[in-house]
Amino acid sequence: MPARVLIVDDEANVLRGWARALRLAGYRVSTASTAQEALNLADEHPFDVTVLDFLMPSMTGIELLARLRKKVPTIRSVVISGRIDKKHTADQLTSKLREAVEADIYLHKPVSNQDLTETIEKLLGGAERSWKEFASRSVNAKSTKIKTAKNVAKELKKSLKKKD
Amino acid sequence: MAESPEKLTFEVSASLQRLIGRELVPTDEFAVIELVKNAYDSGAKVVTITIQPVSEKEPGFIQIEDDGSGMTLPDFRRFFMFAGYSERPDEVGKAARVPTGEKGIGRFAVDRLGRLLTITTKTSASPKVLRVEFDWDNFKSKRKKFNEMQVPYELVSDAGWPKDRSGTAYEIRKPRTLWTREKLLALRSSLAELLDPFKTPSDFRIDLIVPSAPMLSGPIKQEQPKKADHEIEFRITKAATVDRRIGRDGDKKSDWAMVDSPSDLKPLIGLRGRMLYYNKRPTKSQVGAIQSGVKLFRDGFRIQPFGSPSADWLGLTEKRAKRAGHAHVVPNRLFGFVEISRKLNPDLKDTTSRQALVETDAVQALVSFLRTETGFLENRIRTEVAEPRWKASEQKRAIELERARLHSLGIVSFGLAHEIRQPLQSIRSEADNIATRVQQLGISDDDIKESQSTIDEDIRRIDDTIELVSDIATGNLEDISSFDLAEFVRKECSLFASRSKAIGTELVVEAAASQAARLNRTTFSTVLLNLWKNSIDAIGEADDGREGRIKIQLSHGARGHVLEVTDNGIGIPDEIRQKIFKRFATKKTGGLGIGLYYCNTIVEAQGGEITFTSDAGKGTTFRVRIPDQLGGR
Repeated sequence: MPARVLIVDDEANVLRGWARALRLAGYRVSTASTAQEALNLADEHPFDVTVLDFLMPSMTGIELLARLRKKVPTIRSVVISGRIDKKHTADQLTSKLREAVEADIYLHKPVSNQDLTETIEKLLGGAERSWKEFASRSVNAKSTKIKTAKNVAKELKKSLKKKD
Repeated sequence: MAESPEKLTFEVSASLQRLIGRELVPTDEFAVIELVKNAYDSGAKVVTITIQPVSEKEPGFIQIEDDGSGMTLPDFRRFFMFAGYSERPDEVGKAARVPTGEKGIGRFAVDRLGRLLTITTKTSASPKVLRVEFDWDNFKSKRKKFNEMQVPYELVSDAGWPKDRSGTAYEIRKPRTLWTREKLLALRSSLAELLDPFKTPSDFRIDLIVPSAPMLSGPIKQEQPKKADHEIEFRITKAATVDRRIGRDGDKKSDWAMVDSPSDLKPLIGLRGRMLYYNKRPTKSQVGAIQSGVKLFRDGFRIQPFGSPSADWLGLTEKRAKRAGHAHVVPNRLFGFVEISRKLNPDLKDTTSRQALVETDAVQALVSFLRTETGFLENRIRTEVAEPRWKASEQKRAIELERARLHSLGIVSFGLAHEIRQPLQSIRSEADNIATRVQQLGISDDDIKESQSTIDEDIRRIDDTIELVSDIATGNLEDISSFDLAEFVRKECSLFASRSKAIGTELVVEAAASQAARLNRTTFSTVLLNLWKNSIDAIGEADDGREGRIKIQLSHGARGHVLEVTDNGIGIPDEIRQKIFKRFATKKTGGLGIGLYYCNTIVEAQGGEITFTSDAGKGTTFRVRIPDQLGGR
């Protein structure tokens, strides 16, 4: 049986693109455009892997991951962030949240299909959590002001609002 | 006095003494100084001033004693008792001194100091000591005539003076002033500035003794200001031209050079002087107790009030207040010593009150000459201090402005980057999906392949641009930390290694095993990343299939950390060189043209600089210098 993958992103086009890619790669794919939808789907299926957007309106990918793990403890995870927030992702790894939740692998948009499928293959093959590698590779954390994912979301919302 | 019906003569009231001595003479210090000058004129080597302030126990007295030539009774009659007469007989001048006394009225100033004056004086030839007693209160009466005033004297054969001893002693009793500690300190500093510190007579010493205050007692030292930031010396030659030389105390001075002189300087021939200026308020170790100001000395003796805080005789304070002319000269950091002489500059006369020079053309010439010299000094200060400082503050402002701009750019780009990356992600995914499907359908078509690679390339380009803007927008330039820069560079470069390799470019990193630094990491990594990217682009622009090579070197120079990034790309075209650090200056087919501009801005903000050498067609080396920063953790 092919592995089951849950993709969560609030952007429909992104969601479709990834879904198509993973379907073409042979996975059983479910998609959710909200956190709630994702949690409902997790009740129905024991997903092997989840691909989460880092930044979503109601909660961050990390927060959602924490909840998904409660439902499916074995779920492996890929969190994909826009690079603008990668520094904050890195930051989180040094924050309290790191102890509580960490994704198995972090990727940055735009992710090629090859990178995405290889990553999932790796996770399914039992690859070690690689956040440590990511942390050391990522550019040094610059902002110490924004310490939690919540703050990241708040900052982003604020700046998006200002932009509007 | 013979009177004739045709002629009238003046009679002089005894109270004239009072007018001259007490009211024209401005201060007690001045009265003491007049007697010191008399001592000097009489050829004294040492003058000892003893002041015993009035107290409950002590009635108080002032004694001013010198070892000069002294006076015989006829001398005393002819000179001391002749009001308004000052020239001294040749035989009195033991040392070759130019008399400092001029008006012959300083003696009346003693009245200020105390009611009773006893003068004891003796020449070396005379066996007897002349003692004269003045009671100035006798001069009070306006009715009495000056020339009818009677002053008792006696010639004493044994007054405790050794036979060959000569000199004069003034003993003043019933002091009129209370010599407080402050007043004594003021006297000490006035005496210290009485003589030109750069032309102090080597054979003249002033001792001040205050029996009740040993701390205030001792020889008066003439201090010279030291270690000024700017120093000029000037002199007016016999031909009435101006010579000037520049140089600091202790440093090598320039040679005397003739400079243009503005006006007729004949009345000032022989004038010499120097001005010293401190960029910051001078410390005690630099100037001691010396007051600032341009002071005038005649034959080594200070002419008051020139250079005193209240006398803005060169108009420096006024000009500064008006922000005109010598606005860059802060008056209390300027020290000047100007030497004139009675012999060579007879037209520079004091007013009787000794509070100014008599307004003459010569005085006008002096003031205008010194203003020119101050102006010259000011130009030096401006070009060496004020202008760089002004430029620095301009630059600082530009950087502040840039920061504000970057801050708003940050806010916009934060959202913008997110907005662009979302569609970019779906383009990326769907393009890959098409490729997958095309492959699955067994289609092999060159046009499709070419289209796909164009899409790939442009997605990367958009992504790089967003990356740069994001970095600029989110970088924190204020965080300073201590870290190993060599390790940091190696680590950052390892991130470039794979991409360098992917496009067939060799990346060489040369750095010491470790290099301690105290810097803003963001600045360094931003600069490193940008220079590396530029190198990659420059190599990519070369279409001769050359093998790319990038060398990143880290070292430490005298003025900070040095990062050099050398590539063998196409070099920087001539038309770009001049404006390479300006915004939107680019010759690259891609790129915003803000990378180097941004790097330069943040490096300069931290006191560093970016320079480059480029060989068109052959390659470029960018050199970044950043000094260790203060503050931070």
